[in-house]
Amino acid sequence: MANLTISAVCNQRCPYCFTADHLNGAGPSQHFLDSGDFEARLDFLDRSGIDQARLLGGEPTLHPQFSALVERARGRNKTIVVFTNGLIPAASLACLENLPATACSVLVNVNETARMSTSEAGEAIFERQRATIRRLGERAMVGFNVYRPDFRPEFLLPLIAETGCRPAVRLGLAHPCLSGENRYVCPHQYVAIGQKIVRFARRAADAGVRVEFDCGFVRCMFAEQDLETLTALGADVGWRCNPILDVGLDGQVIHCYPLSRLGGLPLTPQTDAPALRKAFESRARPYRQAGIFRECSTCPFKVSGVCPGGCLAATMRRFRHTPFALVCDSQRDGRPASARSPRLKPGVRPETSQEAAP
Amino acid sequence: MHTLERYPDSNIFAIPILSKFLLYAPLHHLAALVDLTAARRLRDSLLAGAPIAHEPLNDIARLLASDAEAERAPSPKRGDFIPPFLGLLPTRGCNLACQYCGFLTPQESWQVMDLELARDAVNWYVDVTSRAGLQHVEIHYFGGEPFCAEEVVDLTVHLARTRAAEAGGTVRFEVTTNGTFSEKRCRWAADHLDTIVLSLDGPADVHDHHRPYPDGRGSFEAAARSARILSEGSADLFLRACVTSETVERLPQIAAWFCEHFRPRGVCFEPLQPSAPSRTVQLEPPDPWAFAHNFIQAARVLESHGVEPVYAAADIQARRVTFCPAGQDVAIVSPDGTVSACYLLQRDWEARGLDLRLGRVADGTVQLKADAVASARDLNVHNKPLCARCFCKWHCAGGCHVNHTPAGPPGDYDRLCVQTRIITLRNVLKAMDQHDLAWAWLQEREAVARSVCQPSDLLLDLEETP
Amino acid sequence: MNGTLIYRCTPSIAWVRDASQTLAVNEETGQSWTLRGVEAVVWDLLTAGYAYHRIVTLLALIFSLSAAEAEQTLASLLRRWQETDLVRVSEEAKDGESDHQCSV
Repeated sequence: MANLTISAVCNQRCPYCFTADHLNGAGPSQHFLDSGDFEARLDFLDRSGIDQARLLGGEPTLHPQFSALVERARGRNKTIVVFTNGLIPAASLACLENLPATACSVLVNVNETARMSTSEAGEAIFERQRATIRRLGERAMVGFNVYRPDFRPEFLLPLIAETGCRPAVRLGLAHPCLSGENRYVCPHQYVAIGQKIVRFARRAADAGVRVEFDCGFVRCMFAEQDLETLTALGADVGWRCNPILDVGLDGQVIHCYPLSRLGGLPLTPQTDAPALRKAFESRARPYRQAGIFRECSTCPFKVSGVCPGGCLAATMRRFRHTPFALVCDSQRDGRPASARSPRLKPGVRPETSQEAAP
Repeated sequence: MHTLERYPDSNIFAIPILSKFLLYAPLHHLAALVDLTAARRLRDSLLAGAPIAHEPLNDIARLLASDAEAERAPSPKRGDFIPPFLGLLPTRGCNLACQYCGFLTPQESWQVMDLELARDAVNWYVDVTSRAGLQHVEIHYFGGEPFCAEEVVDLTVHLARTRAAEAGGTVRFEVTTNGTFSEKRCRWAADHLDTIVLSLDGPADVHDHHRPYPDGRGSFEAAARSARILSEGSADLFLRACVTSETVERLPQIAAWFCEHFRPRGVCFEPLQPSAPSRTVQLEPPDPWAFAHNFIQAARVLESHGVEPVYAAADIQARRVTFCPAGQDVAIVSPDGTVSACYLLQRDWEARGLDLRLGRVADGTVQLKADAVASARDLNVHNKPLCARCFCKWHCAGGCHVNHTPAGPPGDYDRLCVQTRIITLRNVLKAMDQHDLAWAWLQEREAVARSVCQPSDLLLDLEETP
Repeated sequence: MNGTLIYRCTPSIAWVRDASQTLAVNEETGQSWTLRGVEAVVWDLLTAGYAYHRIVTLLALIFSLSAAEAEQTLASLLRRWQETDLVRVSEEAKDGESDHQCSV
């Protein structure tokens, strides 16, 4: 699996967008992927044995040559997977409509804000998304990202019913970029979120809709009984955090967008996905001893390999960088400092610790 | 009223909620909504020991009549002194000059606990709990501002963790803090502590007015920065907001603002406890009816964000005979080595005729006086006539023994009682998924007054309630 | 300045405090250290900014050591960390550093 970024432009501003670190710095010359570079991406997929062309952005369907890129990918027998916000230009939408359902999968991320908005703009967005999904039919699947604990995804169920798209919802947890500048849910909110997910999964099952999990979910956010419920409801439950291999417009391959600040590896005519994955796993290995919670490093689920300990970006944000310099003067008379604490002067803290220099 | 000697079961309550009655028996794990006729039939059945023809009611009657189905009523501590947690006051000193703080006096403020004293207190606590076979220990830090004595906190955290690990046990740490420490210290707290209660009264205009530095500068920026950092950390963050008559109507907005800007585990709204400083600047506690009403609205906002609203006296999961550390066998160690049952100032206890000292740290250990421990254990709801017929008694347990000492007969509820009873009723109805009923009831002041002001909540007193 | 050693955190070290241990990672080389017990305590006191003799005092109190034993424990740890490149040592103070901890 590898995601190909073909556009740095987006016509939405989702608060949780994890491309914030990666795409915010794109200059005018880097809005869209050059078609020659796209061929190189397809070559990479071929030598990696990957039969999917997963197209990402920004909003990938805004690429001026979107249809041509899709055609080229289809010419190499790739299944087309598109991650979109559903606000798709007419030509791109027509292109996707013309693909056989077996060769095309469109994940439409629908935000609650669009549905819940009382503004005309918000209503208009939701209506466009609905229309897009209706036109794509069984090619489309709805995605929903949880970025606040008071989420309510129930509105997706009638949307799925009336549009005839795949009877499934792909649930994502909004994870932090390393910079923390996007909106995300904190690990300590996961248990409450897990309980809501189980309630939603029950209602979805009643409507014949299955729930699928994106990456970063953790075993401990669900009670044993709730996990059994989810499994019985046919939910695609998983605890995953692996190198996605997001290929940027600049030809750098990164672990995943939230970890773009970790640095990337160049896409060369020799590199393939397995080697890149291995390289990123090696880079991540030292951090993987920890997890998103303090308890992860000794958690039996993590130790046994059932759960990786949550999103690596969230884990890495727990790490501190604290330079220090300890002066040891052996010329002192060796008397230890007194165990008696100094009297505290009003408004002054003891002198035993100092703030780090910024 | 029926005398309690004749009818010993004082744990079944009936409270009017609009046109219904809430039948509430916490020790039987029962809450039900019935009409007046049903309530009377249940009462008569219990009095006569006779069954009821109506099957669902009879099931309830059987449950209520059965001792086997009920928890034992909470009872005061007895036997060995085993603290559920150790309270440490590293210093009474503080770097703020909060307008309502009644804790500080010049003589007591600035002493910092000696490290050896702190070590001895922790070692004693771990030894006592270890001998009692407890695997889990807890240390709570109070002040003043505990982080004005950072070294004491660092020492005791590491010592307790080391000692607990040696014994194969676990340790939890909780701190109540003003949050104005450095960013580095803040991250340390997020990494090392388990529960952080951070005082944040609301947005800057509220917080800076209430909680300035001694030079008059507001402390909001520092406290808010800490709240943001702690929101992401591993520790459970509880924001604790003091509520006055000026801010009570803003509680729902403050709750929303908290949820928007931070990610706490919970938010505690606490009515101002009047003190000499608060009276000087004319800060007043909120009207109890307004507090309860706005707290509940704020609670709805918090709950929708997955944040726990906290008003400790209305915790319906609690079964206790004493609300505060006093009477729970908690040992609270002051900077001078005094060990007490309470973290309030000695002058405050003495003003109520109480001596809550238990002993002191001396000769490398903690020496307690048996009669002092016994006196502290007597501070419990069984000795509070006011609470005898109140449905809140096992949750609220009569509140603070120092700050809440009404001497009236059963049912002579004061402002604390009023707000506690309202919030507790709402919490019970919420637990029953009766959100609409709770909301409708709250909108009718007269209905709320009927619920809250009845002198006896006992089911057995139903007919005789005026 | 004779006999003055300065122990500095090796550049690129990132660390995280877990429930029962501290994990340190060199982000450039991928080398990692798992610090438990006294090691974790010393690391914490170093990163909190404590001066040498305060660390010795605190170690003595936490682990029931004499002052000499605490100092020896600290010295031994610092040596071991130096050998594994968790810390680096130099023999001269930079301008402005004196006999207390300072952060650089």
